[in-house]
Amino acid sequence: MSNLEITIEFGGGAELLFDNKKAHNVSLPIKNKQWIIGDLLLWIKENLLKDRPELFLQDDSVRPGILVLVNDADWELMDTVNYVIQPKDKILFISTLHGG
Amino acid sequence: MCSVGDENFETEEEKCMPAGGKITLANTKCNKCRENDPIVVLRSKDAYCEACFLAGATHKFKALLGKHKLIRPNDKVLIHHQIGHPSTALLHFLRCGLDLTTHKKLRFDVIFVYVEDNSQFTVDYRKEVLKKIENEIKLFKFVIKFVSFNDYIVNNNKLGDIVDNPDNLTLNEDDKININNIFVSKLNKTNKNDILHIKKRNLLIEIAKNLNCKFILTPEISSDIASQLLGEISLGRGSHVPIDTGFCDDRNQDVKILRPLRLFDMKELAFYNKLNSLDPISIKQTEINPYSSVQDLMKKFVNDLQVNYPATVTTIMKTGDKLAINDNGKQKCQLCMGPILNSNEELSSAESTSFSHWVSTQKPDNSKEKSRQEKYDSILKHYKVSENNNYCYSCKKIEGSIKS
Amino acid sequence: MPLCSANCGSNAILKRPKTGDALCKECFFEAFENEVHFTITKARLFEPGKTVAIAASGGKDSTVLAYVLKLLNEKFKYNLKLVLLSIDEGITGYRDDSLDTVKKNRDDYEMPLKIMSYKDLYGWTMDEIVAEIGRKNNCTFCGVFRRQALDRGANLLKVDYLATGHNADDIAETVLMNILRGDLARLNRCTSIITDSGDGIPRVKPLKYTYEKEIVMYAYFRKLIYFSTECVFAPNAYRGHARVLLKDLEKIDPSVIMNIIQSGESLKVNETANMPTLTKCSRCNYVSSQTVCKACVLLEGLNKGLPRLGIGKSSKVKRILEENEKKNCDSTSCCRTNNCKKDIEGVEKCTDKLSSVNLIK
Repeated sequence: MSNLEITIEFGGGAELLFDNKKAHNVSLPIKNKQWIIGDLLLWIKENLLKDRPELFLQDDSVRPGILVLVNDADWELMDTVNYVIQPKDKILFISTLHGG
Repeated sequence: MCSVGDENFETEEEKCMPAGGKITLANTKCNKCRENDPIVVLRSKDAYCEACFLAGATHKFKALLGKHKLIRPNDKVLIHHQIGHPSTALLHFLRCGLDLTTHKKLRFDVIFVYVEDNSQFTVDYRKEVLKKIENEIKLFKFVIKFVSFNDYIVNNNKLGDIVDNPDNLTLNEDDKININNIFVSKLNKTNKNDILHIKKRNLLIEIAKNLNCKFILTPEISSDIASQLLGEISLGRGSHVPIDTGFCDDRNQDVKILRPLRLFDMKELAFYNKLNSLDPISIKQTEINPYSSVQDLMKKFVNDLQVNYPATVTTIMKTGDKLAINDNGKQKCQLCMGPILNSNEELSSAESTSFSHWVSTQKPDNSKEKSRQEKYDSILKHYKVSENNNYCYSCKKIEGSIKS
Repeated sequence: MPLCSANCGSNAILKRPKTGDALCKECFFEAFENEVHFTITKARLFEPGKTVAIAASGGKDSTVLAYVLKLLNEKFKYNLKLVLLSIDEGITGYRDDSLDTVKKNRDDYEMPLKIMSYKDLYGWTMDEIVAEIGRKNNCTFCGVFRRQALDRGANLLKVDYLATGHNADDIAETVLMNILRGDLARLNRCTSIITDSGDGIPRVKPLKYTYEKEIVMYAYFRKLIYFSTECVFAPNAYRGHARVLLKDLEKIDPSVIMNIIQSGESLKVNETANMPTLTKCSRCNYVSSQTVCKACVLLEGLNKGLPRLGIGKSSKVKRILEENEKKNCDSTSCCRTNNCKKDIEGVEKCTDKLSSVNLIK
């Protein structure tokens, strides 16, 4: 059983929190339960976020102002944090907070 | 005492906020065409496919501009450009609208301006940001001018140079200190924000006049309007709500400020940009304590409430839209140009505060011979409501704090 | 310790949130009282020789209001007759303490006290209502009944004014709340210092410009006794959110409270805006936006054993009321509300009592 291979992308300034890197190919280790986006957020916090976690996460979800798209569709169409991640999914986080 | 029931609400529903429902949108179709699969949910309840969403957004923009019939063909319009999704979307709306060859084409001339106000960063970073802005505007084949907010403030509200090349803007590392130095005493952040907001607006009007523009378009969106409304109410500007938050701000007779994006929310514009393959330039976020000023608190309050009660922003805006400007007095405030209310016979909060301050600074009369009434009469006799006819209620409190 | 701003030489004991001035105890008392007097005279709240019912709950606002009104009445010769009016909902354990406090007020201030019970006014105590309908919607009943109870009580006492202890914080909070709710009609009225509740007895708010913090300080330094309870709001109630917001705003800049009241006073509603029309209840003549007011609807429900009547959509309510109207009122199952107006044999006893509750003039 191979790992769960997905792509994580950042836009709208969110990349500033991730070393300015917009696209990340990620290999999630298999675990006994399925990976949901909620799990992914925790994983991002521990493995990718360079600093200021409060600018990206709030409670068990993303901070209000960060939009999430799964394969170019609004995650609100898919139960947000409870969406079960599939292989080759593209998860895009767009910040609307990095304006001025 | 317990306030329950004081408001005489007729139903339980009136007391509580409509919460966002948990909607299962799996296997639904687009709200509009009912054919395609949706790709976005707006306001936690409406799902749209790509085509309907884009058409809807474009239509909403054009409809709002067209509804008010203010801009005439060949008028010159100044666009206040800011960094972020709203301004980028506005770039696209305008470019598309102007490039149309049909009768629906937008028929006015536009010129962009960026007011540089990033003194919290290093000069190098500020230059980097300016270059990015210049490139973004060039992509859309528009003309952009640059003005330094710092210059305007420090030079006592005189319009400085409007430059084509951002390299020609003078940026100094100590700009932030220079801005702070114009305040006479240690002002709280709320009042500072208020003054700077008013001055920025005045600067934009000066720029528009200089460039012969009759209109200014600003990129405020619905949540900005809602938090600004609550903020202005908290500063005492209830009579100015329509010009501070409505579609058209016509306090200046030569230049009108319009807010064409006021019906959009951030998610809508972010999706609009995404679907048009636009990624706005971004700027580092500085740490802001939301409890440091009324304006920051209102932004946090509105945004937090909106998460669980998606009708918050629209309800606040609807309330504001039903208010009219109160200009029973014809005079305009020297600072914010809003109407100054005539103090009429009725007791007002302003007068009560003024009297309280007077009473708190009067040396008590301890003579045993005088009655309470007599002592009070003598306090009242020397009390005069200051007749300041040059500033409105809110500006009266802050006008003394700027060095002239 | 900073000195008193009034230059009397004493040390200050409080910083006034309203103006930022620091005052010593005596100057604070003087200023506090003079300001309420200023409000009363400038806003022309009372005419001499009239009677004022002071809504007394035993809480800090009404205790201070009663104390100050009595003081000003004497010192400035308002020539008013003052009476305390208190409402007993009939909730065991709750009102007992606050009513004891009100009775102490009556004794300390030497003012007559009239306690009106829900039983007197509506025929039901809250305990009886809860026994009938359970705990779920009892707040609705209590709230609606209490609001009307004060007005009905004032009417029965035939007073000229009803004074309530609403303070500046309350009013500012209400302005914010009505903006959040989009309630233009209430937003337009909520900063008025005199409101007509529709049955002719004006409600006045002499403490409209007094900060809650100063009321608490005044009561403390004057050693006034009051009873405080924590009022808990439902998590999604507008007022709860408005209250938290106001407290946060106050921490940033306390003058915000006066600013919000000023905004409320100076805003103007668009002439074209749609505002609900008010009419008079066909049963008891109280002002209402429906043909039958909320209290009468709730009572109808209680009396006919329809506990959920009035908790829900008004169109459904209307239909049920119309159905009930058609049924004859039978003296053997006489409803205890005495709101029955039908001239039916055997109901004479009811109509006698009715005339004392009936607000039709």
